[in-house]
Amino acid sequence: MITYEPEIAAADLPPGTAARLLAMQRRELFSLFAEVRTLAWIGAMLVAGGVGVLLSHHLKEIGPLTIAIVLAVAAAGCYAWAWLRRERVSLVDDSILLLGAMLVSADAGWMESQWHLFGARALLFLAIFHAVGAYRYESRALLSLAVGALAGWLGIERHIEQLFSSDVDLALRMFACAAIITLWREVDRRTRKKTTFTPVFDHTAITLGFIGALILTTKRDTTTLGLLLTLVIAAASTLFAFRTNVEPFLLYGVLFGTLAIDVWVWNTFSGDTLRPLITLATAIGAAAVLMAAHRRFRSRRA
Amino acid sequence: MRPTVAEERAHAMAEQLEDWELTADERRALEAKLATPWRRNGTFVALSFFGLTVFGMFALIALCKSIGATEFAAGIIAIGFAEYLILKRRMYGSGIESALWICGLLAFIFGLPSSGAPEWVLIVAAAFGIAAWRMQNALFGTIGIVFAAVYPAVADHSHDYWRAALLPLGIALIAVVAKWWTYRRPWLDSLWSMVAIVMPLVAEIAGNVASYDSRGYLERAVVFAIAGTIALVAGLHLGEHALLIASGVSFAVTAYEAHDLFTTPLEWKLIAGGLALLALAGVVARALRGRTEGLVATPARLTRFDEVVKLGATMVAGSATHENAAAADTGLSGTSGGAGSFGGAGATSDY
Repeated sequence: MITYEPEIAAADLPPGTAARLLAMQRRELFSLFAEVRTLAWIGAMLVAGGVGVLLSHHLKEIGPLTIAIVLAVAAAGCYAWAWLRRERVSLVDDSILLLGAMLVSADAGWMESQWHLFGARALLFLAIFHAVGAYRYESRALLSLAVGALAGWLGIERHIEQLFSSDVDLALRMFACAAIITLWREVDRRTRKKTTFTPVFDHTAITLGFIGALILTTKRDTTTLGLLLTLVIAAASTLFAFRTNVEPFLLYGVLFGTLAIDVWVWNTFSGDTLRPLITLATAIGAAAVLMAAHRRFRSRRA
Repeated sequence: MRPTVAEERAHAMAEQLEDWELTADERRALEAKLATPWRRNGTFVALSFFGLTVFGMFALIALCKSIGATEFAAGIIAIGFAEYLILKRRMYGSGIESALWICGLLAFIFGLPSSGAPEWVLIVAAAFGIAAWRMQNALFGTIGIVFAAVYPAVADHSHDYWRAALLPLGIALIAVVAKWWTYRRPWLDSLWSMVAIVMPLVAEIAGNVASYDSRGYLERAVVFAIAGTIALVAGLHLGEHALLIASGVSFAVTAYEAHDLFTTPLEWKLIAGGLALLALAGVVARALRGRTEGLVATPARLTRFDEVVKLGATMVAGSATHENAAAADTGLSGTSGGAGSFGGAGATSDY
């Protein structure tokens, strides 16, 4: 184990702060907050996973309608639990709410697969349902499910191999999704002063934009357009990082920009020496740019 | 040459300031006291530099080979440049020099003629060990120990579970005991924490791979349950989050090994296990409510990535549920393009 008692004792901190930090170092205070929440979250995931297997194994024994009703009742129970306890929230309540939302997702998918009620629009309705839940319960986990369902409705695959095997159409759908999320973010930010959802919107939108542009870069026909788009988004991301003081956007800009340049180089040039030479040069250049930008970022924050 | 003990402790403290709930003035004052001449980066930035450098090293190795030089040349350039950055530019923990050191050593190893002997894992272990010592990097040290620990699984052909699993399991227990000591250098404490967490999993995987047998056995479940209990008791006694995580890993292996011992269908095991964990979490949360000393439930986090990991894993778990549900209807597993595979917990319309 390790303790920083000597350093804290010698740090001239106010007595109250020093006493609190020393108590933490001596383990007189030991918080199990993260462990309990993680335990509850794993529990919720196991139940949701078990329900998924249940659907696949017992269709004929139980029957589609019964499964749909049982899932709906279980999900309603989870939502009711979270609603009734909203005034005295405990460490496990958000996991129960998440479980309820995942059961709703499973139920909606199940009903659609059995009775084809809404077609592809089912995911849009699901996204709206989760979004309402996210606002009602102020839950970023439900918001991420809503954004995921929205992306699914737009036909966006989550698998990494899509980056190399998909066509321009998927890239356009990603741009559309990023635009909708950006619009949603703006409405949310302007209508709710204390919103905690902005980072979820920001990171999702920028990632979708970058991946869409990278898909274009990987295709020989659109590689230059893809590179230019990636560089434009990278510049916007870097500016955004400096404006909001959130450094990960600076990292996104440099890393995705470098990746796009290298993909473009490999698409455009040939030769066993030239390609690695340019790749090495871009890696060194990116590191130098990142170092300079990071230093400027730190000096602004200080 | 490298940071002194006091400097290394200052670096480790500086990384924790965000979790210490200090006022802006207190934080500024403490940051000023903890300043050292070494140039370091936070986790995200260091990871970015590390990734860029690894990327560059691949290009350097390809370049060296294309002009007739060997991997040794790339290794010498990398380690030489890393030492320049450390000694002249005072960079230590920026992400660049660590990547140069480990990639340089690995370039040397991959430049060696391959004989196919199992001892290659020990050479890789030694490379990570050297890089860990030079860079005071607990992650490199852990990877090195993992390679050393799987040597019996690679070298022994008896297909015996315990011959492969005993060494990693033993190292896990040594790590738990080692956490009792108070260390001056933070990286050594982190090293034992990481080793205690990963070794039960390494033991299980190495044992299963070596024995070509993934069935569950009672004696293995009992051994891992005992290991988990030891880590749990030690973690609560010492107030060490790492040991509590290690106990969680051991109990997860126990559950996996016990899965064949009951004839109950998998789905009911998952649901029952999940409900049991939710109930356990609820009971512990209730027991901790209102406590102000000893074990408490005040907001805290294990890592800076807690929420990101949970949200990402939620999507993965949702995908698994989706694939199971899809298999029920079509007899197929997985999706093949088009709308609808982004929803959580089976929420898609492309069954």
